[in-house]
Amino acid sequence: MGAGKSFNIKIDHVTRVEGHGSIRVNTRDGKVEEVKLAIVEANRFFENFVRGMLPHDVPQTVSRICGICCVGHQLAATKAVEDAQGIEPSAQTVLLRKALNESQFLQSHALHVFFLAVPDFVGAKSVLPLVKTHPDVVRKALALKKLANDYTAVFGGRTLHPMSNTLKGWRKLPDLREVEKVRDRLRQSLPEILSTVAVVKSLKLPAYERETEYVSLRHPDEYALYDGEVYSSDLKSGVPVSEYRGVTNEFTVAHSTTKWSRWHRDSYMVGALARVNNSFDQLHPEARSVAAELGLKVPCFNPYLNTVAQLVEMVHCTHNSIAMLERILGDGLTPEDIGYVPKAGRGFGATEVPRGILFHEYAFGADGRCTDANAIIPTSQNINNVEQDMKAFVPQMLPSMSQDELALHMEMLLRAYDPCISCSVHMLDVEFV
Amino acid sequence: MRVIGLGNRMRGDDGVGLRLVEALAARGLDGVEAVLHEGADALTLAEDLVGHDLPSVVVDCATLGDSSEQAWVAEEELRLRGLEGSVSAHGLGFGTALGVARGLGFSSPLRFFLVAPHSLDGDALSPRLEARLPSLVDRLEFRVRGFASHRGGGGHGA
Repeated sequence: MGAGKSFNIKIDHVTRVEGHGSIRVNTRDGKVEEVKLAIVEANRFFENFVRGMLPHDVPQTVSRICGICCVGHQLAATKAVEDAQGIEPSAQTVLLRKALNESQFLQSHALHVFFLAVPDFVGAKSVLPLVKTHPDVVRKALALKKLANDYTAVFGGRTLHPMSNTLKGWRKLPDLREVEKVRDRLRQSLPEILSTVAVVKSLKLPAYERETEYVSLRHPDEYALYDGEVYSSDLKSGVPVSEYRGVTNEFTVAHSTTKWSRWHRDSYMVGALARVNNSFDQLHPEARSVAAELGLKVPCFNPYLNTVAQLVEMVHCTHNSIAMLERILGDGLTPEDIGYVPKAGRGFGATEVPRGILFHEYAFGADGRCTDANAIIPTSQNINNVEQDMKAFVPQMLPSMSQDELALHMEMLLRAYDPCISCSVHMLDVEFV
Repeated sequence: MRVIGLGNRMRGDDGVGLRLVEALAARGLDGVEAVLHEGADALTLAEDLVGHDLPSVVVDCATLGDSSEQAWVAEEELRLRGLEGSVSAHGLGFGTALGVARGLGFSSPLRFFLVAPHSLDGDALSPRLEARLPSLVDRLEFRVRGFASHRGGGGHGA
């Protein structure tokens, strides 16, 4: 099997991912000697410089960990800080945050599915060939991304690092006329999204499977993207968010500046596929139909289908967003008192972001200022699982693939996870003696 | 025609594109629409260009790779000078985004007014760039008027 094949694959900068990752695959005479996914991004130090900040400043600051996942960081941090401060947000505020959260899912998934991942499955190095072969699909994807950006701006105040959400509520409530416009555009976008399903269905996705543990939020009443317990496909139950360190069990490896995670197995997966695997029955019926049409059956162990799961979630989030916006339009919005007195406390917050479950934890001292912070990003939780997938798949791929084909499949595998490598690099604990 | 300012005011001189276009808009040039895309990625620009197929000038901060402090570049020169790779949109380069726009039917001429940064720290322009702002607005107006009337010119410097 793969007899005689000696490959030295060295991809220094994987393209079409956020941040920098390198892939090393060495085989000698058909035997796999090394498979490594190296992350070489610098530490971000956010957990360090939020120390000393007042509670309401923390979410705004940490949203700047990333320009792509800024909404997710802000929401997870808001939840953690509110937990620490003993603040219970109103139902109105929770609804607004859910809408803000799902706007980023639409934006991020549209970008990843159509501009970063799909080119892989049509043998293209970028989206540019698709512009020639499938101009309508690219046009629709651009329009979907713009709609999602505008959706974020209406609820968050702006697209990048939204400012409207704060502790206890909204600094400036969304304009209901703009909410109505977004609702109408979301309705119009549904047929457009569904029309892309046929294109995705025609793609030839690699058929490799490796069963792993799938971890996501799970909620009894809804497809969990904002609230829930931390659910494991192995446990078939959840644990409170406050016990997240017992989920992630972070550890360091020599070839990665990002920490790795593991729970009940050597690694676990978070993200769209994990959510769909864990909460399929709670997806909108049309999303479940799309999954069926695209051959996504749960449990699904093929990580390349994470991209398909993202398209399924786009359908779900569009329907769910329309429903949420109609509730907001029906109920109206009431200005709320967002005043609070900073106090001591420790709190935990988790939310799903497009790439998976995101954990934030903050502690505040007697003066109400931040004394400690921790953020564990979905991509850092996934990196271990990506490498385990690579180690499992390389021996299977070796007999039939050339070096270039194998290298491409490894890149495609990493891209399928939709990694946000820059924001995954986590502060190492340093003790000076 | 349109003059499109890109940038991020929270990153020092990266906000210069926005400031220049705001200042230009205040001068009320006939037939020139000023557009601001703050904190936007390259695909947002692509979508905007496709949606408004008009001659456009993009104003942005960019590391120019030589000692130039400002450059007026045509699209082809942008690619030749390797400047199109400097903006990232989640792994999607500026050059790819322009290619998407062209592929989807944006057919109008495009020029870039680029300003080299001195500092990307803080939420204001660096003192040096702030001091140069009035002369930069003059240069931008000169280029825009020339582009509108002749639809030509490239090269760097003034």
